[in-house]
Order: sequence, then structure tokens, then C-alpha cells
Amino acid sequence: GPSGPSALPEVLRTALARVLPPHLVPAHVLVVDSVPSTVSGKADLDALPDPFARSGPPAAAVAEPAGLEERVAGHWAAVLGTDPAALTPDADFQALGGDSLALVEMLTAVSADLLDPDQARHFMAGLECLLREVTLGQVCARVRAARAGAIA
Amino acid sequence: MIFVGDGALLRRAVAHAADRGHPVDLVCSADPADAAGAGPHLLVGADIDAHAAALAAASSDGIVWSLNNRRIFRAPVLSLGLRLYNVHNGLLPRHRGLPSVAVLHAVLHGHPAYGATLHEVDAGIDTGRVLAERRFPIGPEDRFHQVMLRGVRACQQLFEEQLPAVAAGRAVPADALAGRPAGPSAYHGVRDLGRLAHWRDHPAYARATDLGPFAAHAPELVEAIRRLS
Repeated sequence: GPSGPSALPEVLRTALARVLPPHLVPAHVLVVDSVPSTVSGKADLDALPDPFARSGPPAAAVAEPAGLEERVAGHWAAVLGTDPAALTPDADFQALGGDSLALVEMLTAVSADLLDPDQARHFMAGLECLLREVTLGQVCARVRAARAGAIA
Repeated sequence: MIFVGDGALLRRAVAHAADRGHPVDLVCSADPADAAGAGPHLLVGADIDAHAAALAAASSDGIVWSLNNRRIFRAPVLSLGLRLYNVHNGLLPRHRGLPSVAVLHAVLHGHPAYGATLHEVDAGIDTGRVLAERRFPIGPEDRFHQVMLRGVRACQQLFEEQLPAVAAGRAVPADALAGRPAGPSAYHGVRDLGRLAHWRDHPAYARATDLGPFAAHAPELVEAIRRLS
């Protein structure tokens, strides 16, 4: 599986996507060696780096499209032949009957709908680590990360 | 009928044949789940010839399907008198060999079309008589993963479309194909990837190596492309 500090933001976001509603999953995760403290020893939150002060596309370019979850769920439903309303973030693609070819169909449809070719390449790169257990929340988190350019 | 191959394409074909009432005598693959609960499974690695006796014993109708299959049938199986059919991801004879390498080649060199081919199996690799094909154009902006996905879909469609004729013994070499040959015969193998460096500056290189979700299924390509990046 993924390891090392560079994979940590994605691992965290993936794990959070399993247990939190999508809007509560942080858009950016920045890794710091230690939490800075004030002279009195309290955590100095103002001294933390600004997760949004990063080089990359302007905010407008990475703005989330309306109903990202619904659109991803729609592609799942089309490929699996299920009701999109019944798909929750922890819905498991394989458990719902998706085979490896269905997975390719779904990932292709999702990236064609929500990502440009460059983002799609980032989206697909390193997907192997997720291929064993693919949940709707994970795929949505990965789409978001790819749109934000956050997947190295 | 007997099925030899691997993965979702094989599994879907087995399930479809069983659904249509055809006998699933034996499924030969590396994963028991490929039998889709439709018939007995035989665990087979790279060598199918070692299992010739099992194939002969299992066959009820003399038909053997090869789908997404990298194993090569040689004399021990070919001499059994069975009718062997391969569904090849590629047009023949232009896209013989490994589909992953053939698709890369087709996109890189601007082949006008790609597709799937049903052919009889003989002693060569993808050289038997062609019975049917499904062909689609390759667009100027098409990427590797798009062509590959269409090729896989074409394989499934071709199998389902031709199954009744093959089962009934009515599948014959298609005259209609004689008028539009798929180009010169070419074999595409892992060895071709050694020459990939020559094409690195080709304008179509990025499209031809954009594996998309197929990266998980084509480790040989991933490695060759990574070496050049």
C-alpha cells in the first residue's frame, strides 16, 4: 500500500471519506513535522501553514462541480445497473457486482465527465492501491484531489 | 463448451453462454471465480497443453473458446480434434499478438481502425482463419485507454453475437471481410517495447501511452513507459 509522508494526505482523506459525509472531508491536507507552539506552550494555530496558499490552478479552476457525489453515483449506477439513490459513500463497487471491466468502465466515465486529460492522468496514476476495495467515497475523494492537483 | 482465458471478459462469456443454455463443460483459468458458478473449473497456469487430456475428457460438444487468453495452444491440444475459437482484441492480421502492445502501436502510427476478431485457432499466433470481426475507427484525438476499452467491448459483443452460429456449427470464414483487409500482418509483443524510445518525441506518443485505468492490467507497458519518463 501507499507509504511515506507524501502519501499521507491521500491516505487520510480516503480514510475520512469512509466515515464522514463528503462535505466534511477536508479538501486539502498538509503534513507538518510538528504543531508549532506559542511561548506559553499552547498550540499556535496561526503559525500553521495556510493549506490554501499553494501554487497551482486558481480557485475557480478547481471549484467543485455541482453535485459531484451525485454525478459519480450516477456513473456507478449506470455501470452496475443499480439505483443511484441507494448508493452511500461506503458503497463497495466489487460487492455490488462490479468486475474489473466494469471498474474500467466506471473510472473512464467518471474521469471523462469530471476531469480534463491532465487531471485524469493524475486520477488514474497510483489507482492500483485502491483497486482492491473501491468505495464511492474514495472515488469522490480522488476526483476532488485530482481536480485540486493534489495527487502527486 | 470449454473456456480458456482470464478475467472479466472470460467470466462474462461463461455467464452469458450458461444463461443462453449452452453447456459449460470446463473453465480453464488462473482464478476459480472465472467459472461464474456455471461449470467446473480447472486451475491452469501458462501451460494449457499439459491439460490436454482433461480438455478431451470434459468436452461435450467439441467447442473450445479462448478469450483474453495468453496461453498458446500447441500440438497436444490442437491434435484433439476439437474446434478452437479465439476472440482476439485487435484486427487481423494487422494487430496480432499482445493487445496492449497492438493498441499502443495502432494509436502511435495512426491506424485508421481497430476492433475485435473471431478466428479459428491454428499452430500460429492469431493466424487462423477469420470468421467475423467488429471494427471501429480510431479518431485523431483517441487515447490508448479509449481504444483499448472499445476493443474489449467489441470482444464481448463479438462473442455474444457469434455464439449461436459457433454452437450450431454454422460459423464459416466471412467472405465480406475479404474486401477490406486489415493491412499487412504484424505481430506485437513485449519485445516491441524495447523500441519505444525511438518514438518518444512522436506527436502521438502521449496519447498512445495514456493507459488510463488499464495501467493496472498492463504492467509490461507501465514499466516500459516509466523507463522513458
